[in-house]
Amino acid sequence: LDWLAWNAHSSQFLKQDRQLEKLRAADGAAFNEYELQHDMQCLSGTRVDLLNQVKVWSEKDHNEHIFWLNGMAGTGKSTIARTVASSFDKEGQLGGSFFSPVARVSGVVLPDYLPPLLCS
Amino acid sequence: LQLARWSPHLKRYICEAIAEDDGIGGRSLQIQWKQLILQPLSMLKDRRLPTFALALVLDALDECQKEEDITLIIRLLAEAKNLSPIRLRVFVTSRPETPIRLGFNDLDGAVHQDLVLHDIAGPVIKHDISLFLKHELGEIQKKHDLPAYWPGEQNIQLLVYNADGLFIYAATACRFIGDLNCLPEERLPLVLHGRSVGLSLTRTLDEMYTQILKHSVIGDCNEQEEKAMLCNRFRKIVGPIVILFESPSASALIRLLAFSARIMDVTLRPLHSVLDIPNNNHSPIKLLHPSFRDFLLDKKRCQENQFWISAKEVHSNLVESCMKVMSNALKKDICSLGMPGTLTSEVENSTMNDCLSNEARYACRYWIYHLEQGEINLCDDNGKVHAFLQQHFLHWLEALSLMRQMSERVLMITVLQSMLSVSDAGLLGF
Repeated sequence: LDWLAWNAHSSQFLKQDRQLEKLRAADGAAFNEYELQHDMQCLSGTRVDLLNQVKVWSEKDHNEHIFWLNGMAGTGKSTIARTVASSFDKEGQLGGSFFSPVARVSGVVLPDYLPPLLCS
Repeated sequence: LQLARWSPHLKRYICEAIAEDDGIGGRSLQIQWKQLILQPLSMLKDRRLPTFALALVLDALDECQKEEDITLIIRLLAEAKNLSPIRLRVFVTSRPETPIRLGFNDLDGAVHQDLVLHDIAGPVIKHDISLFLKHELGEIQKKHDLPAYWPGEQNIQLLVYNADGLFIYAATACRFIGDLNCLPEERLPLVLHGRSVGLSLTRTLDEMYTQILKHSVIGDCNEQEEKAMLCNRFRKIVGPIVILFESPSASALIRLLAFSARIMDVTLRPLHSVLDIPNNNHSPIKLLHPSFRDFLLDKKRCQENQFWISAKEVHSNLVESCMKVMSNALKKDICSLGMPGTLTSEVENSTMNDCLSNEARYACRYWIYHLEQGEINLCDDNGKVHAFLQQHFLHWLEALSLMRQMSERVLMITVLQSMLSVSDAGLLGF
């Protein structure tokens, strides 16, 4: 009987997986996916205040649920975002992360860049 | 999908949403966000869980192409504020571009915290950059067996000064200095040399890119003619890499541009400090940082004209390459299906991938956009586009539908039509 129950259970999972396959994942967008692994995170000892500020924001109970980090090209936004994503991940709190591959030219509409972003 | 992996309960709710609407993957952002994310998350309410936090991280929002989409995403994100018991936290990064600033300004009430990275106090950033440089240069010193005093505090301070708050400067400099095929003690002065008092914010970065290119592309070559040849080759190969809408693999690039593998290899090999070049031929070649593209395409920033890449020119060259690739590849019944009535859904994706090479599929999808960006006048291109369409229009449509890109096709034809507004009757008749 146990085996039957287990079997039913696992086929349920298989069905779910098949359904999820219908969504196109944003390929390579998650922070820990293979291609991004060699990319850097903040060196320990740097960005201390900033990362603390993010931590306080994430733990406090308040309504400002969006944290917008903005800065010019080359000021280190992506590196900080990777660091933040990985620290959420360690806490088991990361629901999803989206990093763009450095590969787009501005000015042209690429119709299916956006939808998969939200699918993953 | 990432969300579904995070919690089995959530997975169930998301699956229910998919079951209800099979085509949800193709629906608008609003609907996807609501049905796949907000609703499943709010259903978790019923399970008496304590309040817990869930975080989303979105990097480089400015790289979304359409302004309306950016505004929409910001609005949708804001809608999630009343979710309970989950405490959703969304971490967004972007350049300070106008549509994004306006998007956040338009949100009512306090739903977001801002932090402007380039406004952080100078000394803090300088401290962080010098820490980073010491760490990276320390590694280089060990790897190359240099004396322990190298590179010296004074040099580090100079680099920090040059970086002027830009981490990308420090990171690129270290990659250039630490290149395994070179002597770091020779390269460090190259980076330090040629500094001038900053006129614009990117001045020192631009100068470093110029130094790197001078060294990597031209090297010791003194002959004018040979120099021009090397620079020309650089523009011919790196131009497409920064312009193509998808990062190409080396092998696809070789076939698209009709260059030999050896030329490609010697041109790209010295550029490891600015390009991410994989060891094999099938993985994509990428820029290490978008600022390198900004630099190459901007005539004002790229002061050595020999390196400046004209986006328009590269686009129009790519149109020709694309048409050549397509002319060779496209034909009637490309997948040898035999039956005209076959449904697209019956053809496996892999069949299509076997029948049409990467570069041919790329060409089918994007040539129209290159045509548009190249601002090619369809009246004086000697009828090349016209000839291509006459011979291959239907084959092209067939390939696109097998690639499941029919909806995009409509957009492409609209683009094509808009370019014809004042064009010749022959094409318009087509």
